[in-house]
Amino acid sequence: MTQIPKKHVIAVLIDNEFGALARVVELFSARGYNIETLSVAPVSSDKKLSRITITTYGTDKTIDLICKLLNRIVPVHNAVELSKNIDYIERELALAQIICSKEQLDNACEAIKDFRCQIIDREEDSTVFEIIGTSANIDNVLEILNNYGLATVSRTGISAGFKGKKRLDQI
Amino acid sequence: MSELKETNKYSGAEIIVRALINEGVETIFGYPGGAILPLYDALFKQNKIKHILTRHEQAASHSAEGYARSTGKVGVITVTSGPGATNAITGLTDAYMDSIPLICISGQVATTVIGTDGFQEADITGLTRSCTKHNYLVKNINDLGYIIHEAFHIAKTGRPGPVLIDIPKDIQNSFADYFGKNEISRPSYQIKKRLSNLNHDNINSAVKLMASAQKPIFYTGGGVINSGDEACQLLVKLVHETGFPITSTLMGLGAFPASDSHFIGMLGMHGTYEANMAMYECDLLINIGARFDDRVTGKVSGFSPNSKKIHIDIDECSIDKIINVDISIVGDAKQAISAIIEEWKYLKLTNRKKQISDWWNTIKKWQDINSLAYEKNNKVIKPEYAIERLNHFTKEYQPFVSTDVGQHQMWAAQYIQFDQPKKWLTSGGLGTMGYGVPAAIGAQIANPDSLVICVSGDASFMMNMQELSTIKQYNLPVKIFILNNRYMGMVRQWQELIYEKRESQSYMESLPNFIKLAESFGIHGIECNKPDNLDEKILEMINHQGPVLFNCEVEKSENVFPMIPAGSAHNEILLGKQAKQYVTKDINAV
Repeated sequence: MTQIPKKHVIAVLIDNEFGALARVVELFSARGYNIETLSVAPVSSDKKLSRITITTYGTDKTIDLICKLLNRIVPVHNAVELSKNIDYIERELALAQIICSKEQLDNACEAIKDFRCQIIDREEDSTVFEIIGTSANIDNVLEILNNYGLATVSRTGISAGFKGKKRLDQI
Repeated sequence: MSELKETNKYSGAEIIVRALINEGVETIFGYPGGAILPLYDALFKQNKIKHILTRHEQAASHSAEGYARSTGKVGVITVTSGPGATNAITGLTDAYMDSIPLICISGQVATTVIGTDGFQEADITGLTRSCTKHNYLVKNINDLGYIIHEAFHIAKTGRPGPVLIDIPKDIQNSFADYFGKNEISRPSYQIKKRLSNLNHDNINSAVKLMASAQKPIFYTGGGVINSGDEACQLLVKLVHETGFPITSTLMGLGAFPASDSHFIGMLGMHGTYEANMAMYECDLLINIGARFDDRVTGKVSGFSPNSKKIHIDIDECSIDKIINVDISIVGDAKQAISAIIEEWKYLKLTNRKKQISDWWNTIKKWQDINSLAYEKNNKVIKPEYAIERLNHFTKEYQPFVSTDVGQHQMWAAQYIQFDQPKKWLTSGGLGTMGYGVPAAIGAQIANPDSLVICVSGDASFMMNMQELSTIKQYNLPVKIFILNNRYMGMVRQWQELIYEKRESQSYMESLPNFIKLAESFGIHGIECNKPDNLDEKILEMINHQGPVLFNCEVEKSENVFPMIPAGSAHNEILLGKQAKQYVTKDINAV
């Protein structure tokens, strides 16, 4: 296994209770690992089960150990590194506000028309785009919007899962 | 307890007491304070649970560890909020590292005050998250009973560990129904149990490797003891069925009888020459219930370089954590050993001692080096000699022996023979000075008729010596045997070997008069500084009916050998006479 830090995507099914997220996050911080993105929300109809998606950078060996340690946490049902298997899907959502003239806005819309973006709010010279895609695509859009008065950005971090029929709760 | 409220409901404090009784708890260790007073009031009104009042919450937690280790039961402590709970953290961390089942019930400020920097408020669930197997903050009185039972279930199943339950004062004072001990229904925890079902293919592959190995060795640890007495008996059976040599970690001592000829001593940093050389040279290593701790492996890249490795552990996290293995078996030691014996018999395999006689001959040669030999002296007491004599006179009683941490701990591990499990109580993973005296208290409470000895050092003893008061209060006949060299001996040893004898802050210029100290607590004190008097004084200690504080003044500059310097491999082991050749290899190794 390589000892070079690289990107890893981890998905966790966990009881939706206080302290649970802290237990997960502390496994990373205790090893000096930064969590790049984190998304968490209840996913079962009774709201008792949450799903967490984490991206982080680390060595394969440490991430392997972290996944085992995640599974040892009492409220965790399953924890799996999705990126270990290249067949995974990910999406992220971002809100990007640009402040510019009407003419510049038209140019901006033209420049990003090939991406999944739509305007969800406008007030005077302020426009907010909703951008959906892979993290890389969102990076690309933001890069372009930099030229059109990009003011504020809010990103959700990725949600991710296996490709095909495989399910996290059936691992 | 008996007074029922109009509604037939119990107070939170009563629910705690009832739940503890339903869990079979007979003894708890603790210290009262503001936020836990409702529980202490409920304890006052009952007579089924005995409360042992220690003099410090850290001591309560180590006492509970000693109680748990010596009985196989869950240890229970009750402490108040804030400093009461933070004092207990060292014991919880110690129990976490050494896989000891503990329940810590801590009082907390009222739910309405939490988060307002209330008096004696500490975020104890936050503070203990990384040193407990699980913890709870009880915010709803209706959850209280279930939580206590779930906590016990979690503490003692799988890889055992400490669980903390933080209970705000208003929860202890409010009322709810209590339905007794119901089935534990936590799906996320059930999944973990399923994971530890034995994989039969792996058992089969392991046995095949064992059947063809020329230089096999068992390396067993505390997991076997945690698995229970039956696991230890099965281990003896397995070793005798196979005819393989066996070495043990510090935590595993006693799981296999030290007097059995298959046992080649403890391995690791201060293990025997034969055990460490055998680990280095073996072609098959069978690890049962040990975790490849760095004190055992030494330099990982030089660890047992030519062997196939089998690892049996109940905790999947231990597999491939430090040493990558060829066959991993996740499961309980008892079940795994039993399955291996069955498979061994099913494949019609027999004792292989003859087939591996070359291996045994090699081991015999290493044993002949006699790595635990030391220079005799008739003027000052050699610490090794003191422990040897202690072992000589106490062996027949099969005593419980607790230790603190440092040189005396290693000498006790080297020179005391343990033929039974659960007799050896030591802080292995965390290395907590101050563990020994309270652990001995816990063991003596659990085993009132047994001989309980705490082997300590002058520095370690002073870290929890207030517990002499507890010993006196409960009239516990604990024998505290201090190897007094006026130093933090192990620190001094490292400073001598690695820091060119710069003895930075390791010498105790002032020590109490231990005899007077003992007397001031109402305890019998014994002092000895001459080898000629030692036997007689040890016998006096054993024959004294009550507690004894024994100050044994020993050679100040003695070092523990053999020694594998941190960052070295097993074959780079130093024997006593080689100490002068020592050169630091890895300044960062700890």
